[in-house]
Amino acid sequence: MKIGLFIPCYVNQFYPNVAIATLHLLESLGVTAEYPLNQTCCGQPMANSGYGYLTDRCNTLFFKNFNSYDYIVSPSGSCVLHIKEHLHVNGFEDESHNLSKRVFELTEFLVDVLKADGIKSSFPFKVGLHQSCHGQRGLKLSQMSELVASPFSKTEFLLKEVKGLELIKLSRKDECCGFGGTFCVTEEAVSVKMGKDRVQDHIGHGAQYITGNDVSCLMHLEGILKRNKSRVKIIHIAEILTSEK
Amino acid sequence: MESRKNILDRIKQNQPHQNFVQANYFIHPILISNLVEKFKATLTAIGASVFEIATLEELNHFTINSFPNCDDVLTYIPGHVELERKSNGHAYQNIKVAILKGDLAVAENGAIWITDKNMLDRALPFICENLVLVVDQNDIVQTLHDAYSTIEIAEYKYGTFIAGPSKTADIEQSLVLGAHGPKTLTVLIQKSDLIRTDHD
Amino acid sequence: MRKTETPLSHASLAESFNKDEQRVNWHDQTLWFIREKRDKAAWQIPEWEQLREVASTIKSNVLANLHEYLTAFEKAAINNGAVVHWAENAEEHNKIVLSIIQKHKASNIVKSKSMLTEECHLNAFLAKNGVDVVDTDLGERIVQLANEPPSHIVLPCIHWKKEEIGELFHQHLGTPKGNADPQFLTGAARKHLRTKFLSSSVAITGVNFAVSETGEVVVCTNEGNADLGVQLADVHIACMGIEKIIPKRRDLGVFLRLLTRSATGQPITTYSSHFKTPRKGQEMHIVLVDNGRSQRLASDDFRNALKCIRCGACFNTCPVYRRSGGHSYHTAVAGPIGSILSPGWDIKKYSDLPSASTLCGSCSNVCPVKIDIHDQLYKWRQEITKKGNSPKQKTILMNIMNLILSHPVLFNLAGSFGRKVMKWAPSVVNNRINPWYKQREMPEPPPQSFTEWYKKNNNGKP
Repeated sequence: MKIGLFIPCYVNQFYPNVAIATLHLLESLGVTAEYPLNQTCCGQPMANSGYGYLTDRCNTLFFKNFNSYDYIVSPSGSCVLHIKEHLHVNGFEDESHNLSKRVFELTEFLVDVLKADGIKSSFPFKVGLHQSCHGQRGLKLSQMSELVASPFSKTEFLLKEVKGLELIKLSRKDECCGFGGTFCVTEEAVSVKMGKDRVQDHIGHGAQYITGNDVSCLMHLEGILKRNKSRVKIIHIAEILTSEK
Repeated sequence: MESRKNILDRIKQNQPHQNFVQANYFIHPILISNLVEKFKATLTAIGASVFEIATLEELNHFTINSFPNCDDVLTYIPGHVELERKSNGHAYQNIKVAILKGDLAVAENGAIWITDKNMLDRALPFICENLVLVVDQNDIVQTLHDAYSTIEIAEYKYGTFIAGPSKTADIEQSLVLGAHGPKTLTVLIQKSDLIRTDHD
Repeated sequence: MRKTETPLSHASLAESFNKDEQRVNWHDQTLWFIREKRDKAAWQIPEWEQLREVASTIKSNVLANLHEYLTAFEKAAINNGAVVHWAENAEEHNKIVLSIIQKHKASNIVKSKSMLTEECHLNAFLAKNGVDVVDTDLGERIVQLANEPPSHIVLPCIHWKKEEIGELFHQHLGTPKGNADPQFLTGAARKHLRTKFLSSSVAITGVNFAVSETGEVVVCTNEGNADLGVQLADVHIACMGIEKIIPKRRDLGVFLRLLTRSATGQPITTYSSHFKTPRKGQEMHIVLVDNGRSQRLASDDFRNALKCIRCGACFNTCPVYRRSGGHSYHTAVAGPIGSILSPGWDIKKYSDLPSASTLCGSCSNVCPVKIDIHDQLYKWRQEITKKGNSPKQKTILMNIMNLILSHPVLFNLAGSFGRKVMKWAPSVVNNRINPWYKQREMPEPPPQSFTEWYKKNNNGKP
């Protein structure tokens, strides 16, 4: 099983520890993942802003970097969803379509492909889970509160195995944090207000950490937490699953 | 007429040509075990009062007890208590209590189906201050689907589902009963067939 | 009022709305409460998801056979004794309505809620022509007295506080100053509007559903204002978009089960009235309005928006709508559904609306007819860019961004450079022109990127 590690551009630049944790987590489960060095961005920032037509080069690059792998794993639901929905390479329609089906967000790879249980980690803190929309509603990592359907959560399944971790309840368990890609700057006022409200829900329920599957949302929440001098920290789920605190 | 043609031509040209057949669906709701109880509970939740009666005498008692000193009470139950229709709806503006017969009732949502022939005047169920609807226990059905299996073949000129008193929550989501129509709705569940008319 | 010529944008209007944070909290919580009521109501129906699927399928069938259903509806309606009119656009719709009113020499008329007439700006048109039209839905009457459009399609004055309504009624209806009790104010409105009902010979209503098989129209209200208006008037004018058609009466079982549970969490509206045949001596007119709908029908990407039954569930669930208020959308139908409908009417004027969303997808999940709202928002963004309606600076910025993000060497250089700048000269990014920094800290720049770490720690393999 040949696995390619797909690290979103901003994680690569600003949150390398999340990528390192992802790599270590996979290794600890006996999986060797390779990191193609020429990767950049999935193209989502342009596409979500209405410039999907600009993303041919990003698509081609992704295809070149990852088409030789059996599985492609990434610690970001949002980027994975973008690739799944929009990867298209001229002249390689079938191959790129096929590739997009082999791309997995980290927790769904752990739960659905590796069927990993009993990941040894310990994180003795009160943790709030921020369910990023693209992972949740797009990739269906967990059941959505809008639907009349049985509950499940791949992320919570993993978090519940972590020693000492106390998952807090939220008033609004799957409300968007307001990051939204370029939305976070083009609609600054609403974006920040949404983020403040999310943060408040976690703080109000005693969270010491806010975790999630997407660093982009966490980065936005972190910006708000830090500006308000909060002691609550953000942490990606890969970092919790490799923690030995 | 030109607009009609233009619109229809455009629709004909633009409507998708996939073969979307008319939906042939069968919905399986969970069966409600006690229809009367469910109907009563739903009605109470939407702000109506419910009583069970057995005879027409009880209907009279009910009216006297519930609306004492009230002159402007109007009862119209075809085949039982009939009245001449007045010239127009305006003539009923001072009616305090109107007692009418519902054709059908739905347990899941508390709605009572009433058609023009039972209204005396179409304005009456809306212009009166308090509305009383008499419903035969045997006319209560489970869901709206069941109701429409009767309604879909019914003849009427005007019919309405009434579920509770007229209400609004437009001011800060505070529920207020009695917006423009009746301030109260009382539903009398008729346990026997006494009020049932031969015309039904 | 507005000094500059800058077009209205959701972002700037929402920014103004957010100046009063307490009010935003109140607006958000009020609407979230309705979303929760909707959830509760939906969970009462175990077959809820099946109902949504069936409703969506019925509407697909309607859109694929609209020509046939509309002509059948027209035939049946005429047979029932109604007069059927066809309007290509808002202007023609307004003229038809006015001509009926003028024929009957009416100058005071009542109107119950109709989003179509909002879309057509009927009130302003009638007022200009000397007709006093009174909105009889309480919420609509409130915004009408305040000279504002509704901010929500189901809850027109959800942005108003009771104290403000008390003051408004004090000015217009003469209620005692300072009385803000909803019960009292509703009573005052009831009295005020009862006189309007009793004195109007023409009543306009919207239409929730029009049944092709029988030619009847169904109107749903909680207040009873549609019925009271119509049954006291000599003339009933029902205005509807051509997409309101459903094939059969029995389909109402599906739609009425979904509509109000989705809208307010009630099991059904207080009144669901089926207007088939006018009263003896009464005239019934049905105005069928196209206004861009037949064009939209041609679009595989955007056709499904025509399935909308105007329940407003997508408004209540939308985290952006709740925190920006309906007026920030500067269009007749706000919220997520308005953001995919409005660009179809005017792509330039409403080019900002598809971007007033995080694409979180909650709207599509609550939609009772399963419109792919968030996917259409994404597609409208592409359409707007393609048609040249994006701001020039944005296009330039996106091209630069793309250049960097699609070239590995440039990307790594820019990343390394950016992190160094943030580390040694943070004020270059931490300043007022950076909208991120206004209320958020920038992420702390790490000493090395993951690529750099990987090269060192994995000896350059793979």
